[in-house]
Amino acid sequence: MIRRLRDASGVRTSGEAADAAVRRGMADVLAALDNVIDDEAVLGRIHAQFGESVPGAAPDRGAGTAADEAWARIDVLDSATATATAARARRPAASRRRRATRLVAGTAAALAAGAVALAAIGMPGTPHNGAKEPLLTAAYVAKQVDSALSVAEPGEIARMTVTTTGSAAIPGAATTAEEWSYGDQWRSVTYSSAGHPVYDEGRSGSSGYTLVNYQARVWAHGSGLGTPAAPVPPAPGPRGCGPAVAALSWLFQPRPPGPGLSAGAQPSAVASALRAAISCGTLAQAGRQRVHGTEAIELTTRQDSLISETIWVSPATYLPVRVVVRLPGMAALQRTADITWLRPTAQNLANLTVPIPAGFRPVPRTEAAKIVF
Amino acid sequence: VEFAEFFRAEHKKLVRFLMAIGAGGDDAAEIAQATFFKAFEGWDVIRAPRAWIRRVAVNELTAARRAARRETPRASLPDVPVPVPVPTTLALELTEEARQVLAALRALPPGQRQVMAWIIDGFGASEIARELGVSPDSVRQSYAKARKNLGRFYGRRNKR
Repeated sequence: MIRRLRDASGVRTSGEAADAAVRRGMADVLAALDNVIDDEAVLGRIHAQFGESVPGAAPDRGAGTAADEAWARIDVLDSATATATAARARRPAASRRRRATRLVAGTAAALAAGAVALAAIGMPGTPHNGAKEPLLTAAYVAKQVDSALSVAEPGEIARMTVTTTGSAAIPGAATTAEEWSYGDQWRSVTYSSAGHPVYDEGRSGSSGYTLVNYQARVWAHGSGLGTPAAPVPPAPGPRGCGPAVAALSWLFQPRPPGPGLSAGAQPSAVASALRAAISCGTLAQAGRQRVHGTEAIELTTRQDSLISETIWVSPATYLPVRVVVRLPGMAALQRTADITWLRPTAQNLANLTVPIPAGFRPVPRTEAAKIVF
Repeated sequence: VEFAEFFRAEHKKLVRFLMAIGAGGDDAAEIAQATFFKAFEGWDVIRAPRAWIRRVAVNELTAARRAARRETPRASLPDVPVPVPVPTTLALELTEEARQVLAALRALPPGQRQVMAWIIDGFGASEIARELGVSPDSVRQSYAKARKNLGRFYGRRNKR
């Protein structure tokens, strides 16, 4: 097709390098989508909307099929490079898929192990050490979390380390971001898969919004940007089970890498969303699990929820210590935000300031923010 | 064609198509899902479903962008255009070449970008012309310009 168009346009050579690059790049995009999107899960949801089950099992399409199919149909390949390029697209896709399969198997094993561990630790109200403990209902926990966050909000710094696991491209865990939040001040550092900082941005009362782009070695500054997101308003609908519940995942979901220019939700918004979610039955208490070496109360979304989210709360402080979000339709991938609550010492407060490395040049915000790809 | 079979063959390609015309990864996945939902609803009467889902997805994307523009501005919103980021999960998977191609496509004028997206998915000039409501010659011209622009993009990059 492209060759036909090329002939018609009379441009035979100047764009051939671009054609080849587009061909390879778009095959890579498809291979990446292969790794992060679970077709069967999405198909299942579409059928479920109509109260139907998906007819037939998913065919085994074999390694590399999706990436190959895309370009097999497109007459864009120069015949001289076709074989080499197809092989290039096929090899990484196949190896990524094998890694993904291993990760899925590993996750299933871990989940099974977790279930056993939960049974051993005991469900709420039946502590494993035999000591008498009050029955902690989800509503009770929500109330305690609400109170704890109200106290913590003005007094403590929330530090969140966001990791992504189950990525077939990066075996094991990859730290993707570190975030700090204190009152209306915040800072977020995004790392590359190799662990190098990519963006560092934040807002402090004294210096306003600052963004450092490590890739471009530039920085920008602006006032009036980066104001924390407003708390979720009371939800309309029966028992308030409206947008606040839907917003729960966004409150906890770490932002994607790149300049956000506005802070995530503050603890007060998190507390109100938690209460709404529990009162609507979106979150229920699932048991206990050890997080950071201590036993934590586990709250989780129902199995039929659109987004799977689990929140662990410290039974000592009732502050969230870990949030895990599993994205719909994305197999084996999950994001974990480990939260620690820090006293506002001078050392901890210093983490809220975005340092500008020596040698980086100041540029307009547009220039510093636009390099995302 | 069975819907499930069609879905499995086209779902990710539709996500990629939307990314090629400028949608962020999250938006593309969401719009693709909504489009297939509609396709499932009307499956019995849809002819040429490959073109149909792309046409509907473009409409959905346009509607989503219009809705986003209608949102009430807040004081905390940035005063600069914020680029649509790649979702974290997908960003981790994309190769450098894939990122550069998506960036190069985004740098194209919308008309050229859309023609390229259809061409990448294997559609012919007359089919594209029919879907976009333009003449086949116009499609060919847009493609020639897009190739020229992409060639310049890669030429500049190679000189660096």
